[in-house]
Amino acid sequence: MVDAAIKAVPLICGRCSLRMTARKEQVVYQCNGCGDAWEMVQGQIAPKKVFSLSGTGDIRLPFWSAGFRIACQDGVIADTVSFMALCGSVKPPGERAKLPPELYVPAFFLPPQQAIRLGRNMTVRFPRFSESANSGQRFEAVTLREIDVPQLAELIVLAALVEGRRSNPDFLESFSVELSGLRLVTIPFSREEGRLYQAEMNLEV
Amino acid sequence: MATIVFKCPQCGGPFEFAEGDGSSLCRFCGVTSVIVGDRGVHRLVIPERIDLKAARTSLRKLLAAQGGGQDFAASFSFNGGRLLFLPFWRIRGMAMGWQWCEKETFKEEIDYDENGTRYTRRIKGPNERVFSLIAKPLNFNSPAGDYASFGMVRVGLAGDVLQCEPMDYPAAAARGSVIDPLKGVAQARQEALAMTRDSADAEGTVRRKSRVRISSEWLSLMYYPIWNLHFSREGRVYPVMVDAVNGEVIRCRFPGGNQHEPFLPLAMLALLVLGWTTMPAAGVAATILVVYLLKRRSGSLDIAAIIRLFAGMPERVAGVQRG
Repeated sequence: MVDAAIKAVPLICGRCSLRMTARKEQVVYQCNGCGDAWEMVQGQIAPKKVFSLSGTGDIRLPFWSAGFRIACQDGVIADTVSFMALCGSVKPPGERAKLPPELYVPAFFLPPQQAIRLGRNMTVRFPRFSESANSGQRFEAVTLREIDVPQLAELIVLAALVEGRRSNPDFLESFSVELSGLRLVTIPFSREEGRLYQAEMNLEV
Repeated sequence: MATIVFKCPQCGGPFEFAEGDGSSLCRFCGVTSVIVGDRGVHRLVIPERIDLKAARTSLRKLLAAQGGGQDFAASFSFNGGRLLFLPFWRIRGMAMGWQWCEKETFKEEIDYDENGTRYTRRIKGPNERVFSLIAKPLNFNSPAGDYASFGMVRVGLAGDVLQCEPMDYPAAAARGSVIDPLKGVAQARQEALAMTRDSADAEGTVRRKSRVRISSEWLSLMYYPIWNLHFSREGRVYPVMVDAVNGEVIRCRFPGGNQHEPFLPLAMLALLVLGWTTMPAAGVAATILVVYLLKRRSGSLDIAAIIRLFAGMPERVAGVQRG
């Protein structure tokens, strides 16, 4: 039904025509039949590309992932090695040294402070995953809209920086994060004693 | 939060969803539907619950109660009224960003003077620089224009429990006048963010810088119904605004009538004379009673009011005013 003021769009899979279910705050919908992911684009249901990152685990958590560059009073920081220096990391950058740093923003429901902490931990660990297009694997509900990623991304990158930078008001005022190649990825986690654990990154949720 | 009643796009049955929800399940056909606003804005209307007759009655009751009885209320003639739908912006979501501030610090030192008396000194320490991340829920309402003349200055959160419907402009226009929003969404967002910044702890703050944005926004333009009635007396028209949801008179201004009480001073004088001629104790009691009556009548023992009363002059009663 189309209304001038508000519109309700039934969640029916565009591929297999099965009814989809969704939580109230969900923004990407996955078909229980074919596993395809869908999202709402300008009031219409449209397919959503989801990438699966390699690893072991029984539950897949969705993240928004993107390369990023930082603009600040020191200039533009566009490679991993410069970003690591800004974070105070002594880890060798390896083959990613000259590539843009990679950012991970939790797309599933987490209180904001926890989401920032998890995103920061993932971003500063510089994980290396191989990826493939999602082939119907189930993943947790996506509740963070693509449009809201830049706000959270800026806070995650800020949280990753050394304390001295964050206490400098001139640095903060000039600071901005520009994302490139934003995509939705799922990362496998294992359930261990009521917590979720990612072995490759030694990370707990 | 407000509940919105809608029609299921699959079966046409009524289905409800709460404000802020992205989707809802129809309990009749079991299909989940996603709620989409027009260009991101959910245009909703709070339907009126009282009709013109009830609004008029509500005003008459107020006039009778506060203006001096049924005669006063009946002295105004009703000239008609129209329903207005006043828009207000409603923003729900999260305010996210960072804040940096420089704060003064103080420490207290205990010292003793030459007499051995203990006293506390407050010494200013070095300024403290604090960086913090902001992530707090946002729930903001603001009229979409200057509607103070309609009695709408701000929108209270009591509206949260109300039931809304999707705005049907032709249907609303058939019932009343739909007022266009004068304030844009960008301005409403700025006000919402300013409210978030202002609510931060400001004690001892010397300098502050912040960058806050709205995340997970659920934006709605809600229309609130108000009855605009017109009453007249002696050729003068008096506009009245009545809340069309709860019937409360939110704005009116009526002049009071003239009050003339020729028998009250006579009765008081007779009481005093009777009391003092009977016995001193009865005289004292009569005086106390008269003073009490005078004070009760005008709220205080105003000499000018007492002189006007005993001189038999008419007095102007305070008018009825709201808003």
